[in-house]
Amino acid sequence: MFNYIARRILLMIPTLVAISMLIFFLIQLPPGDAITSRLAQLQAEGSEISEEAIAALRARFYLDDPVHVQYLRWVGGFFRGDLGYSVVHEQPVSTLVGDRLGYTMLIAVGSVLFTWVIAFPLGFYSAIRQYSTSDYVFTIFAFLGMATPNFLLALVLMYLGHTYFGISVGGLISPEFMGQPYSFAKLVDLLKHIWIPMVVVGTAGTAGLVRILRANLLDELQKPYVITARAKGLKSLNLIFKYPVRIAINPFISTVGWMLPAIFSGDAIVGVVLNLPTIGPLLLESLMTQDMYLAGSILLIMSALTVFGTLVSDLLLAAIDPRIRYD
Amino acid sequence: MPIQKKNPAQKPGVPRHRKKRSKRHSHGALKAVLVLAGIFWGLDQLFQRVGSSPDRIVDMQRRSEMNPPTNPDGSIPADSWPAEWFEAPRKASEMGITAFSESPMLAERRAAGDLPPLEERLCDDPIVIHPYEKPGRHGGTAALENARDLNPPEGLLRPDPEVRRVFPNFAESVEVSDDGRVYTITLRKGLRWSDGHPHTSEDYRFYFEDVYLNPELNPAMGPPFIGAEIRIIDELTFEYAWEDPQPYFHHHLALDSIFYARPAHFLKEFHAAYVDPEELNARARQFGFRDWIGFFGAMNSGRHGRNVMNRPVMQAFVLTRIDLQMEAFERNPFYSKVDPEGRQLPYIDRLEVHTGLDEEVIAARAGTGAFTFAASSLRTSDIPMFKIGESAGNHETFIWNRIQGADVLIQMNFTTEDEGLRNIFRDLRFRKALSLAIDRDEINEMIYFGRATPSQVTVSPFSVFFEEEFARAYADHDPAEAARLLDEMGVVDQNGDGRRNRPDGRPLNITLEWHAMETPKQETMELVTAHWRQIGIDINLRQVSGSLQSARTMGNMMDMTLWHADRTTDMVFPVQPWWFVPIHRGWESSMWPLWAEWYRSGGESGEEPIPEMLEVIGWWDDFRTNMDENRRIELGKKILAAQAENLWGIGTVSLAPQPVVVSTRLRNVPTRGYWGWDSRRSLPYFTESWYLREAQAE
Repeated sequence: MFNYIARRILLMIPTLVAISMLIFFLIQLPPGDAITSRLAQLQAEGSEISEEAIAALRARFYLDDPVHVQYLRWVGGFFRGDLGYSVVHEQPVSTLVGDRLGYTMLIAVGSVLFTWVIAFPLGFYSAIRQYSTSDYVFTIFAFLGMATPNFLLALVLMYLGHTYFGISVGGLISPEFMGQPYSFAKLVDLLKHIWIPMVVVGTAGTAGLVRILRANLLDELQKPYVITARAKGLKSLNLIFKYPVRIAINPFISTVGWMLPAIFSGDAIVGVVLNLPTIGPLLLESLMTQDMYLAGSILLIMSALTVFGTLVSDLLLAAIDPRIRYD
Repeated sequence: MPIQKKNPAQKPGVPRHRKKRSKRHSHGALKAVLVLAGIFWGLDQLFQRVGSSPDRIVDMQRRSEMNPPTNPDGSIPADSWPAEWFEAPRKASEMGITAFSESPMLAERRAAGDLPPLEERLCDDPIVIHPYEKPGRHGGTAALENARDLNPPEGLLRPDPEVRRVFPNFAESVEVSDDGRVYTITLRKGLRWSDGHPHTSEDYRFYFEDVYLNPELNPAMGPPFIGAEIRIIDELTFEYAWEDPQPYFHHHLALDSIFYARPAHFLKEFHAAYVDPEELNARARQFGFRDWIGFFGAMNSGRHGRNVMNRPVMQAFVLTRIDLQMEAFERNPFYSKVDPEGRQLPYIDRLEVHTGLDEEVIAARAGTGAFTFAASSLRTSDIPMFKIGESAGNHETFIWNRIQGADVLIQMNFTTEDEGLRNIFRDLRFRKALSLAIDRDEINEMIYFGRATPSQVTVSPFSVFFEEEFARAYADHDPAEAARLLDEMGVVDQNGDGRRNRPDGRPLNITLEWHAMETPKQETMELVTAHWRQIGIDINLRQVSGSLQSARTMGNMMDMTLWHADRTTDMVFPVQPWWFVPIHRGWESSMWPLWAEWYRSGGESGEEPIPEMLEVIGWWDDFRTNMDENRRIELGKKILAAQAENLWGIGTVSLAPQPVVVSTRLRNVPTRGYWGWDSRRSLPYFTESWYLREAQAE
């Protein structure tokens, strides 16, 4: 077991190096760079720009160096805890990311809990009452949830929230509470807003998990060991929770690995539509403006979390599912 | 068997068993549909009940009319604004005002010992702002989407509502020497920064000499100010001196941010010439900057050009807090303007600006009346939505006009790399044909609700340089004549595919790249490409990001592009006639990158313009240094006549409708106004005199 973990961790190093190179070179592929974005911004503010100004800006952000030097400088910074500097925002990447990390994680963790709390009982119930009325109702909702694009759901909920419940459009905190110190009223206000992104981000996942749990559980319920146990007079609920559910729950565990990067970045499109102060929209914007250190650092952190999360979920699976063993 | 024992009722027999199960299916599915229908019906009822709260009592006089009075040329009648706005502001002593009053919010701070008394905070003789409707009351908080809308940066001078002339603001006077080489500026006595520090000549010298002319901070000085010098005469008097005469330098003083007041006493703390560079660099690194240059830049302009918290300002409001999604401003306690009854301006106490909002979210929020004032990010196409939202009684939608000679200016690149295209673009018949093929009335009806003015690109109708024929030049819809012109120049369809070919037989492929910003460019081009297809010209549209627009225009890589033709007022056209003379390179223009380079390098690089353009450049060089006003008007008209004759650029409509969404509580906002770069949006309309009516008990 220990050997296995060590080997996996060692393998992460070349994986991340390869990913970081890929990220760095892919971001540089399209024409233009962060300086042209910065120029566009300066011109939008009314400055007149000359060739010398462009050259000076390039030099200040070391964009004149050969690509491999730029790459090494960027990667080297990671070891000193320096994530680079955003040319477009003129701020360190760590500040930009740090500012948004709290809300991002709050929404992500919230929507994961939402997913689990809803998906588990629904999937469980659908499976043991297959083809009942409630099974059909849940199935229809699950398919609707899977088929509706997240951003559309976000728009619809935002509209309903505003029209019927008077929640301000977009954002996490009503204007009147912004900048106020945290209080009970502000917390209530935050909760009033935060359910929308949680529901939106959680719905698609919920729908998928309901279907998977139902299918897995149904498979298990047909198995001879279940019939045998029933035949021996084991209580139905006890039996189901003790054996088939333990196996059917595997998909919950194996998605833990994917959750880590999702918790870090949040959903970009939903973030943009709902105007959330999360990292997703920041990543989207940085890719569009080719702000390479910002985009690169966010992507690399996400990749690292994915690689690490996969390991974690593999280990968790081994712990929960007695059939899986690593040597 | 145990199973049978447990289930004695069930009889063996596979067929029956299956039949029974399948019957249960259909039953379940039917029930599910019924249950769902019931749920939806119930929710619908609930929503309807919640939604139909008793109609709010709408108590307001309609300030906006659907069809406000407009001059035949599409401009706004000058009597839409108080006559006082077209004169130099008067001072309190001239108006006989001796007693001043302050906002209760400041009175509290003064009582707490935070502030000196009002008389010490105001300058010696504050100017009196004439409000649009009537004097208002102090207090209230305004919610905005853009701080600039109610807190525009102010300079030494300020333009009138038609952006034709400039009047003293922080300057008491601006004197020009007869030869136009020396501008002497006298500041108002006793003006103070928002932290109470005196506002003096040193603020201007510091910024011009130590920042603008500092090669480290500003590696590229813009051409208009090369060879300029600033001289301090005393605390309140200083002068700018030039080698060439500068007939329009006062326009730069009103417009260019480099001549705006900057707090030298605050900024010197971050400037390597005034503190120990080592220590400063260390401090910069502490804040995450590489060196003091980035640090100074951030303290000077703030990220995204916004302010730095609590940085001293001369404007009406000071930034006091930055959150992730909001910036909060408080009134500047030292703002030295009063209303006719002696109340210190601004009336409003606080601004809350919602930042980082998506354009759609801004439109949606504005439509629900969530903003006290919104206009910067609002689009013409959303006017109906704002109008519908008015029924809730929270806001009104004023229709201002965008102060632009062409809402969409179609540009061809006369110096494009493609020799064949370049020859076609340089053929006047081609440009005439493209202009004549456009149905401007249709564009006006379909995109602007018939509220814009179909026009060729030229200066605003209320400009001294304006002639009606400039606006009418090749602006009629005549596709037959357009087709004839194309036939005549040999651009005909050679292979029968319905599209014209180049004279050399190759297909005429033109790509128009554009960046979506401010005006309805996409909607316009959808119509224009259809018009052009009728005369056999097929162009490819490609939307590009701001950074690509910038890179490709500067790199002379575009065939055609679009921009909005601002800079067409009396204040800006004489200093930046970018659409008419090749003097500028930037993302706004891809008309002649190589000609502009030729002009700016004094003929060293780039490419010499065609003879017609060389003549225009000659007029321009005379225009910008000639001290005889009549001669300048004559030259300006010649430059514009050359555009009308040569169609360097093709305009669609001018003075397009701009939605301005105003809370019913916000008063003194003019119902008409010019919106855009030239007027600096709301700057000429005295935002400091807008006030919030008391909220009524509901």
